[in-house]
Amino acid sequence: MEKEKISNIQLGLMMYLMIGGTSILVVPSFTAMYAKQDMWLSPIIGSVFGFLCVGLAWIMNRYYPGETIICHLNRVFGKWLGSVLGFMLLFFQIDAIGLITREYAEFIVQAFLSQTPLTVIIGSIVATSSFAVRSGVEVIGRFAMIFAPIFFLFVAAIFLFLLPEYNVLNMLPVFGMGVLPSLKGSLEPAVWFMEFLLITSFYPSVRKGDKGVKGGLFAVFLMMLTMVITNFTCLFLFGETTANLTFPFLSASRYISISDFFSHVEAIVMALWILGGFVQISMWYYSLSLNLAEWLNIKDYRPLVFPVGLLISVFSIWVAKNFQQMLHYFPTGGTGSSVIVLVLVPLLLVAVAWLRRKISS
Amino acid sequence: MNNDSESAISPRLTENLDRIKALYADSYDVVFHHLQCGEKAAAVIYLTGLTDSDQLNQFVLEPALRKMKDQEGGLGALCECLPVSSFAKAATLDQLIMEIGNGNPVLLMEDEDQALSFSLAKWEKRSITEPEAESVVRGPREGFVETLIDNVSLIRRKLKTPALKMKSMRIGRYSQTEVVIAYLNDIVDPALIKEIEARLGRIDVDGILESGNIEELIEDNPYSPFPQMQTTERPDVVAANLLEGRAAVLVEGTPIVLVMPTSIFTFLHSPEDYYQRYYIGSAIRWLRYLFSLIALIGPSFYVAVVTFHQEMIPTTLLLNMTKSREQIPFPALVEALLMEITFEALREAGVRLPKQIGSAVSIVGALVIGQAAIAAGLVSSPMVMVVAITGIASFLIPHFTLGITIRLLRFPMMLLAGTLGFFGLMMGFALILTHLFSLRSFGVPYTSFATVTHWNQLKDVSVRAPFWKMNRRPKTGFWNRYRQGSHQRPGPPDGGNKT
Repeated sequence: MEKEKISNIQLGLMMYLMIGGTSILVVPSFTAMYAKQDMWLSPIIGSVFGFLCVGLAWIMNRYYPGETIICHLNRVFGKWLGSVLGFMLLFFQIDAIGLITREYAEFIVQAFLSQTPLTVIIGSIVATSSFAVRSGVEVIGRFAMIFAPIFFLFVAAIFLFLLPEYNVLNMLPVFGMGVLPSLKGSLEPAVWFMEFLLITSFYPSVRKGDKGVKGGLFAVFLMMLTMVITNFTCLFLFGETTANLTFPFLSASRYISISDFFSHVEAIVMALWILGGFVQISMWYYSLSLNLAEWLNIKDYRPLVFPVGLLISVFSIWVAKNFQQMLHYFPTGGTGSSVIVLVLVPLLLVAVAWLRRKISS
Repeated sequence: MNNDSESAISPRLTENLDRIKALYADSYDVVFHHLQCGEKAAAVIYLTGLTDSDQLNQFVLEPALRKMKDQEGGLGALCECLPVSSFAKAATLDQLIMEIGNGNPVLLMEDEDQALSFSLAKWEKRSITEPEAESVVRGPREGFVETLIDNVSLIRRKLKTPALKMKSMRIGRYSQTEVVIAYLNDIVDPALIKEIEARLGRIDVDGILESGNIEELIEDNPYSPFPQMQTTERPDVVAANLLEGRAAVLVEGTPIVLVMPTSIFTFLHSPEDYYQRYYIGSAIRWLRYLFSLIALIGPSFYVAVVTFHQEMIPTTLLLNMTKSREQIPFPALVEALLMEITFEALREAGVRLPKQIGSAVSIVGALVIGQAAIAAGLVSSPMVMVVAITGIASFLIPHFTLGITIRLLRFPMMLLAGTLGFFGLMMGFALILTHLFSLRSFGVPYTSFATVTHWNQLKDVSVRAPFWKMNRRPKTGFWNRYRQGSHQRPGPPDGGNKT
């Protein structure tokens, strides 16, 4: 097991970045697709899943402290079923991290480096992250400590700098179509919030005496706030046309122009985004390597880092033929698999574990 | 070396002398002086260049010959009649050889299995001068010298407490260099001292000629480009660090003292920050942080903007830049590398040359080559400006050891920026940060403030907080937390604000 320790606040900020980066990229347009002018409500509804997943992970951690979810599965469901479910989780993880990497790479290629082959970008991100992952959870924690506040501040700054451009009437009528559209729209941010379940990989590294669950809940709250801010920005600026934009928040940042001098900041936006994405990928990468090591019964995850990196690079190319296909996957297959692996299985896990404890006592 | 029984001094004088003579064969500067001490034969052995022969004659030889003429008795009686303040008894030949090597004359006597050594070493040394690499406008002007004992005394003069410990050890098979670990007993973490001793004890090399040799043999990560120990030639800096619970390693023969553990921010602080008003100290610190970032990514930022992200430049400036870059045959990356390498070469030439010629080189380099390169259409004028600013930025880093690291890292950053734009720059940045975050200096994280929320420590990193606000020591001295009384904030006398 990992011996390096992180603090509660580090855990919170790490989890924030683990979910944060990509959510800002594509969530506004997906929510706008279903929720229309009520899109700002959807993250608030969706965040319920975040709180639920953090809670479930914490309960399991209390039952079996110091262990990751793969161990939990083995303990609760027995060796065979546990291994099968563990493999399912691993497969989901590698698929998801491939998607995330691809998303970043596509974003960079489309927005900035149109001549650069996708594989070069993917390769450099994965290579850089692999060094951070090998350095351990402490290093990622320090990254999060510095970049999470910057990340949040820059989201808030974009929101503030665009104040003169807003058309507040875009948000009317509230509940114009009833509650259903915002509920439908909340399914998309909910997928991101479900990913908070992966906090299980980091609970064992939290310092003794620090209650990890606090950090996790704080992260969910901060994430919700961020999504609401980005959705508001897009709503006020673009209205319902947000749904037609690929990266609405980036497009929004292009509108920033303060006294003709402070304009065209999107390159800086990208720079910060990449650093956020770097932490995000490192987190997922770390979680996957750790879980795989547990699944294979290997004491140290470090020898697995480079092979896993290769897998990630390959998966990020396999995951979709092109960008349109990938975008199509999010609200369809992505939602289903996330619900199964990140909500239903853990719910079952906690329920069975609870029953077992009841029976044995 | 010999084992104990072989190395013991025998009661027969001639046997001892033969053995020492065999060791010092073919060394013309070793003097064997025979004398008759009363009834017994004796010999004084010393190295001519290292021993104060006047004092030896006056305080050892003359009294020994005169007073012992009619007296009986051996070394004990001799000790009592010699007017020398400091002498030691040596029982083995190894000790004897070491004393001779240090420049202390030794006296051997017939029928005695011990020898006397007198602290009469004296050699030419540099006087204490202002440290050149770390000059300050306000602050003490004295710097360390090459003589260990003078350096020790400089620290002792600043910290008069008996808690100031100076542990000595010898390192180097042939050089037998004396190395001293200095620390404040009440404040330092005892584990740190143990660790330093263990690491120094592991060293088994031919010779230690400078503290840099030691630094390279005891650091945590030998592959890191970053310095993991602070180096200084200022006694006030060493004293301040000892007071914050760190330890110092002094090495005979060099004015450079190692201080450990350290963090990257120490290299961006100057002792003067603490001597000036704290507003000024804080502002200058921020300036340094900003410019050390420019020193690292200045040219690469420019290359990335010019090559990939032209939209960031305001339009009028962009037009001017395009105009000036029109006749340049190279891409921005090549241009930048050309200029940066030339700049580094000029700097190196200026450092190695005598001072008077050095300034000439920099004038030729800065003015003539810069102007001529623009006129010849080799580089554009914005690039010259960027390189010049970067050069100045790298001189703003107060510690040379970090400055040189940042200058080196600038080159891979330029390559990344030239090939992948901001994305490459950020990846390079992430790699450097990953390394910095995992780096440790004697077990203490190199970027320690980022690990845990130590607001206390941030006080001395983000700004230079006033002294009366910094009541706690940094984390290194955590078990002796408070370094001053809690009400240090000055103000007018009581009631002064009422009248």
